[in-house]
Amino acid sequence: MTAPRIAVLGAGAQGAGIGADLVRAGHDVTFLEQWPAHVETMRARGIEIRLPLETTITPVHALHLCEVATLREPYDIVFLLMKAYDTRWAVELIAPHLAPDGIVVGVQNGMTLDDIAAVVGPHRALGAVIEMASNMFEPGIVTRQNAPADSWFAVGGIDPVAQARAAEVQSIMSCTGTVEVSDDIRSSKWMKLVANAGELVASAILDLPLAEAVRLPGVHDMMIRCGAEAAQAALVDGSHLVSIFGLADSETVDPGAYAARLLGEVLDKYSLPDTRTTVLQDWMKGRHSEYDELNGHVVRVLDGAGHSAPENSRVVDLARRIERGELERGIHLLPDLLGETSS
Amino acid sequence: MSGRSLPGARIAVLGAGANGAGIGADLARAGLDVTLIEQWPAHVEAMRRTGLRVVMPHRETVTQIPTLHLCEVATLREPFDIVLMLMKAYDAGWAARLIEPHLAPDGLLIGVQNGMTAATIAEVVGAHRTLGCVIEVSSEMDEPGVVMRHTPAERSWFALGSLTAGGHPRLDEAAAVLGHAGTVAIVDDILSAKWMKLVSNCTTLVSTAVLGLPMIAALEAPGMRELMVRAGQEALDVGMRDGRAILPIFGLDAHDVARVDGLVEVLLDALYRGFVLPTTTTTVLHDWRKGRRSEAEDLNGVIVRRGAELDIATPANDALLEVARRIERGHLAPQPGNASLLLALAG
Repeated sequence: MTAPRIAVLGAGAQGAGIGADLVRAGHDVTFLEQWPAHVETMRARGIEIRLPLETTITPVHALHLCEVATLREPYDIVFLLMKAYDTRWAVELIAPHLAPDGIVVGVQNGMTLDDIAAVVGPHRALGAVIEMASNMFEPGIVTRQNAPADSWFAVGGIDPVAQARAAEVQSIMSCTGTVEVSDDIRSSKWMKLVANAGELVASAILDLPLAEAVRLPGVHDMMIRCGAEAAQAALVDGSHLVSIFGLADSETVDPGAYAARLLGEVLDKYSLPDTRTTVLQDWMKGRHSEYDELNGHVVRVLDGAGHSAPENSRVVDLARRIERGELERGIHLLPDLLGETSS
Repeated sequence: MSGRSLPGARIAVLGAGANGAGIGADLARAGLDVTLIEQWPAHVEAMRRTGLRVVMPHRETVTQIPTLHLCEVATLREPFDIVLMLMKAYDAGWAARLIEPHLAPDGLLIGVQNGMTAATIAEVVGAHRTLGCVIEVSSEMDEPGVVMRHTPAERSWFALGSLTAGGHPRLDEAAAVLGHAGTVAIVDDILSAKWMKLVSNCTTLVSTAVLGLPMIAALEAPGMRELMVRAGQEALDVGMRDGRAILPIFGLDAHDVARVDGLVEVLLDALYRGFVLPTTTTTVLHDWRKGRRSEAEDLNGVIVRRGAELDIATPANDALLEVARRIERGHLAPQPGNASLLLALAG
């Protein structure tokens, strides 16, 4: 078997970090990226990855999105690291360039697997849970806060043909983190959403690094309540509370206890004192965030089953108003976030 | 009506290439609120730095227009009321998905492009937010920020129509917007009008590009005119079997298209007379020269596939598609010598 042709579609902070590991492991990798200055810097100087204990610079083959129309050879594996809300168009963009037996791996937050499958078919779609922290504020320079030894992934499909490819993808990704194959990827992705629902948007609303936000009175409990609603939504959706992040299997079936445990794990292992969540990074750059694909999804799923999700609804409402420019993010929103105002 | 006055409508041109940027400039110069959204970074930067230069046969304009890189779509806050999409036909699906979150609930996404893209767009944003469009504008761009527009507004032509029965309440408003960039005909059966344009495209775009020649020189090459007319006739036959109506496009009138016999030649001559300069090369050749994929699959490929389904032989389109594929795989270069291969394949 010849070496697979791999593309990283969305070579932002996480995508470029993972892509650099793939290149250094000897794989045939193309970076496809939409930020022009970032592509140009990577072409000129390679991608610089600042890890906790070392900095690497790796020459990479990077293309602007507009150069997708120049591609001739199809890809065997596409790692998709776009925002959840960009999933559908990004997969439609790359679909003509995916080999008939190629596979798209959605290494993203949010429940994006069905969107991927809708475009390329469930037999060519894998979902992945990603647990690592990175940021990028300068083109060509990624700060990756979790080295491969401290990064964690799970991959799996909803179709037996795709699931049969999971071991191959696991092997390829092993250079960039611990990778498990999930036999119930929908549940695994939901569990990541349980972790995300509490921390990502709430800390961004307060305009604080995650570790600082959690220390404010009431925030930690509020995040757990948010996660518990997400865990309840997962159950309503037919998923199960399964182990992720390599946590030992737990007997717990209580959504609140489960959410507390996941949040603890994120704080202990996957964030540094200055880690700003992806949502806050988006807002700092004036970009739209994933709040609707995260907390909004929890609200919709519970609402569809006749349940309310007061904590997640509050997060969605504040995030929406921040993105519309009606509110400034910051600590002054703490009472609103905690539901302590009656405005 | 939505109560929105025309000058207040927020308009985007998604895909500000040669045709898109030129149309955007016309709208901006008419005082409309236009934003260009474009994927070629150097072109965006050139337009931001020095404005968009549009070079026309007898005049030249430079216009400063708000322009976004594609990656900046994620920074948009206010939705658009009208989006003119001028991407390649094969980009229609993903481009519609990209812009959909930024289209107002009563907004319009108009595929100002070749190919039968209206259904693709309607699937994403809904038929009530879609208008079909035929575009007949000739322009080229080789240098970022500079459009060579062979047909200024007074020589550009569009058809616009609703996909829903009974028309669309904002059709006139959209026609008024596009009217700053050319003559706009409102048609009842826009899908038939788009098919008529497809007939014209199947006649001229790939066939002349395969020879690597300007459109006029290619038409004059031995055997080519006959082959081109055959390709157009196949496209027309497939469309008629599908129940498409024959409509006048390019500003022809009903009398001009009254006879099906010879219709393809009437279209061919109208196109060459009205929209082609001696140096004009087709969008397909431009794509190939830039190393890009062309719309061959969305034009002749549509005829070949639909013809096969309807059991209509399409040898001329088969030949055009085959040569285009060889070129796109890198096995052939566009050159005059390809005429003999093309004629041999078409039998």
